[in-house]
Order: sequence, then structure tokens, then C-alpha cells
Amino acid sequence: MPATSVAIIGAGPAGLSALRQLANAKRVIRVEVIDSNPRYGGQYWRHREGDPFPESELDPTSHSSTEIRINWHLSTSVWQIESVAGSFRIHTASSSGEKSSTVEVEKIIIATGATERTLPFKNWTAPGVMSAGALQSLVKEYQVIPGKKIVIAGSGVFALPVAKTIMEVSKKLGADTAVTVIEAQSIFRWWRNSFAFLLNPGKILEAVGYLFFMKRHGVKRLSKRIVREARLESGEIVGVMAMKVRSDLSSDSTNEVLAADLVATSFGFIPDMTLASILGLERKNQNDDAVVVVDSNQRTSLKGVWAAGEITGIGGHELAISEGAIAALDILEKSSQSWKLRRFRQRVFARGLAKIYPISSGWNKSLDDSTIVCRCEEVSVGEIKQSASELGADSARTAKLFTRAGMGLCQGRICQRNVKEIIDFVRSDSKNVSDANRETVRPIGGVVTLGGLSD
Amino acid sequence: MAKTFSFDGEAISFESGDTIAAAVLRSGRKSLRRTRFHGEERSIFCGIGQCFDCIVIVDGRSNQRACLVRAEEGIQVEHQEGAGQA
Repeated sequence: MPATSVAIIGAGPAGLSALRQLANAKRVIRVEVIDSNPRYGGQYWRHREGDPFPESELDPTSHSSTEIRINWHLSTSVWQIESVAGSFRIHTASSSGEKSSTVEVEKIIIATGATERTLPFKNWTAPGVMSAGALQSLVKEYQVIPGKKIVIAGSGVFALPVAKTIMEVSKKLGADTAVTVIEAQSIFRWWRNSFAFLLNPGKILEAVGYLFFMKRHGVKRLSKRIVREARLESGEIVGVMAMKVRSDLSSDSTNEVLAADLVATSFGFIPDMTLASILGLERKNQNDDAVVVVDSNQRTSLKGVWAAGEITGIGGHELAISEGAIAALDILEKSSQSWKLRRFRQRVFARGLAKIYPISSGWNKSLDDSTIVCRCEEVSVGEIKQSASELGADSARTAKLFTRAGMGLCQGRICQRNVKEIIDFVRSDSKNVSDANRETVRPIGGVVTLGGLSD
Repeated sequence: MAKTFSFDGEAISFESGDTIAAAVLRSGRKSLRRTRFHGEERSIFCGIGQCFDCIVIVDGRSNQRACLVRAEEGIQVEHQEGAGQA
């Protein structure tokens, strides 16, 4: 018998795509949609209160089904999931952590997305250094451009839409903004992706469109460089020191200084595996990320749980839409053949991008020992290296016990991956093979206060 | 008249839908808190509630993420020093 209750955890592209399929089925079904943001759309479709939803086809308010009952749980995070006699009990908390409640469902589609990866450099903790995602949100949602000379540094395609948004909003506000994009890899690596482009011709146009836009709007581009240091004068950012790097991100020791008052940084995305780990879903390593193992219908190793989107491998919003649809159609016991063809093309493209923009661990060779890695607990590179070389730390987890790196409010979301790579680098003689199923499990998936629990 | 809230006693104007961080940064201010060990200035970093670097004190409650909490007329926001407790 088809399900009568489904929870969708994560209302981004994958979750909303699944929701559309469930709504279109015209079946009596209860869907609990849970997202930690105040509005649905995920990070990809962040939009301002009152503005139309950016992707009208997936806007839940446009679904006309009267059979489906959708219960929205926005500004809500899941902190624990229990499996009880064939159904799931999902424990949630409000974003302040002060109110908790529980929903029960038969099936779960987990689509918790990804968080942006950043790499540490000297003074990256200073105000005025932020992730490219933070800058994109400030500019796009709030029309705030917090600098005049902006450097977007990192690796991957995300810098392109961010640069474009800044130039568009800057023009609208009549501001005078200069943007420089610093990319760690060479643009010629795109040739390696020719097969992926052939299968996805629309992507060629998209890429060329960005290059033309940047040229027309005077966005400067530098490649094969990463930022080594944000230069400060009395606490304010006055520039960046960029260094030339090889494709493994190790330095070839040529440095140059550029004027800047704002630095945005972005090195791809990391799947948010918090809930997947709590559920004990089988995981594997893919392009150095731990991802959820799924079958061709997006089923996970746990009966009744499907996974879709970035947690099954970083691939962008289009792939997430396909995977969300396939998961929902499988729950409805319907065919999803056309979505599977799309998913095939999109996965090839995602693999191609991962090859063009690899984030190898060479970045940590040129780090200053005094550079902070764990921003919450203020733990430096030197302390982490010492925990490996002198105290025998062999993973991000053991380094945490010695140094507190990853023990702060963010629970290692920002630093864990970087700590792991520093430890692996120090211990490179001992051939460290890390196992995706042994990554740190956070027993509590979100912020919840004791007061909220006792309600 | 523009809507305002107070940040360390100064009036910050905001537009509806603004988060505290968006309004403070639009006013040209940069720092939102100071760390508890090294006393370093910090501000918004991830922008989506994951990193907890933008935590401020809102109406006496510490550790509130300025990138998530909406600006509201008359709230008292303070730059958080360390753990935010006296």
C-alpha cells in the first residue's frame, strides 16, 4: 500500500521537487515539510520576504491538489529521529532552540543539502572576510554591498553568479563597486570536461554568458591563485596577498598584493550529513566527500528512508530536482524513467566539474602556524599539527579531543574537513585512509535548549 | 519615519525583512562580537546560520545569530563580548 505520510527534511530544490510529485499524484497523503530557514527554497532559492518565489514551477503555493495535506515546519531544525515500529518519530526544535515538538511519519525523504566549504588563510576571521554564500545573500536578499573593492577568491563555479549579482545590484543602487574573481584552477581545465558539456549543451551557453558578462562589467579575473592573507590596517581589511598555486593548491611561492576592503571565499560545497549520520545511513567517499549511498530509486540503506540532492553527491540544483522527483515517484510506486535519464546527464556534468575544480590538500602546506582553523574555539594550525605529531591525533575526532577544534557552537561544520586534511597532511607518512562511515556523528542534530526539551 | 532598533545604544534603521546582520552591515558597521579567548572582532561569515560567528545579544539573550534573527522595531541588540555573560 502506498504511503499516507511522508516527511521531507530540507525544502530546497530536491525537497520541493519531491513535494511537487507528491502533490501531483492526487492521492490522500500527509506531508510534513521541515526546514531550518524561515522560508522554503533552500540556499539556492533564497528570496526576500514578499518577493515571488524564484522558480514558479516548484512554488508549493502553485500546487492545486486538494488531496494532499502539507504541514509546514519552517525555522525548524531536526535534532533527532527515532525509528519506532515501522514508522519514524522526528524530533524538531525551533531555530532559537527553545520550542521542541515531534512529528510521526511512515517515510522520510532526506534532502538536507550542503554547506559551503571555506579554507583558512591568515586573518580570515576578521570582519570583512566572509563566505561567498554570505555575500550573495547580503547583496541579493538585502541589497547590502558591504565593500567597494571586493575580492571573491576560491575555486569552482559559484563565484560567477555571485560576481554577477554584485554588479547588477551595484548598478541598481548607483554604487561604485569593483570586483575581482580569483580562481585557484586554470580555465583550460574545462577542456577535460568536454564530454560533460556535450551531454549538457545548455551549460556551454551558461558558462560563455558569465564570461561575457564579467568582461562587459569590468570584473577582473585571475586564475591559478589563492588568497594567502587578508592584509589588515588597524583592524580594517586593506588588501589581500594572493599566491600562485599549482593544481593541487600548493604554492609556487610567487606572491602579489591587491587592494580590497572585502574578501569573499568559497571552495565548493560539503554535503550536510548531520541527519544521515544520526539515522546511521550507509555512506561512502565520493570526490573526498562523505555521501549517502542510494540505489537507482534514491532509496538509502534504511527501509523507509530516501535521500536526494547534495547529500548523495554534490551536483547542483538541477540534479537535486531530478533526484527529489525520483524519490517521490518511487514512494508513489510510479515510473520515473525520464527523470532517470536527466539524472544520468546531470551526474556526468557534476563529475566533470569535480574534475575541473578539485580541492586538493596542497593548500595547507603554506599555512602559517598561527592561522586560526577552528573559528569557534580559536584553535590554530600549529595546535592541530601538534596534536597529530606529538599527541597521536589521527582524525578530526581525536584532534577535537586534544584541541577543542570542532567543539564550539558550530560543532565543526566549518572546520572539521580542514582539520582532517591538516591531520592527514602531518601523518602522510602513515598512509591514512579515512572511512566515510567513521566521520564524526553529532548525536544532537541542531540547537535545542534544555528548557525546550522539557516542554 | 524609518523603523529602527538599537545596536549598542545607537539607532540602526532597517527595512522589513532585514536580518540584524543585514541592517548593521548596511549602516557601515562591521563588527558584531568579540571572541572569548583572543578578544578578536568577528562578524557575519557563513550567512546561513551554520557558523555562529555573528552571535549577538538580543534583548538580553546571548548567542543569537544576527544572520537569522529578524530586525524588529525597538529591539535592543548588543555586540557580544566573549560568551555574552557577565
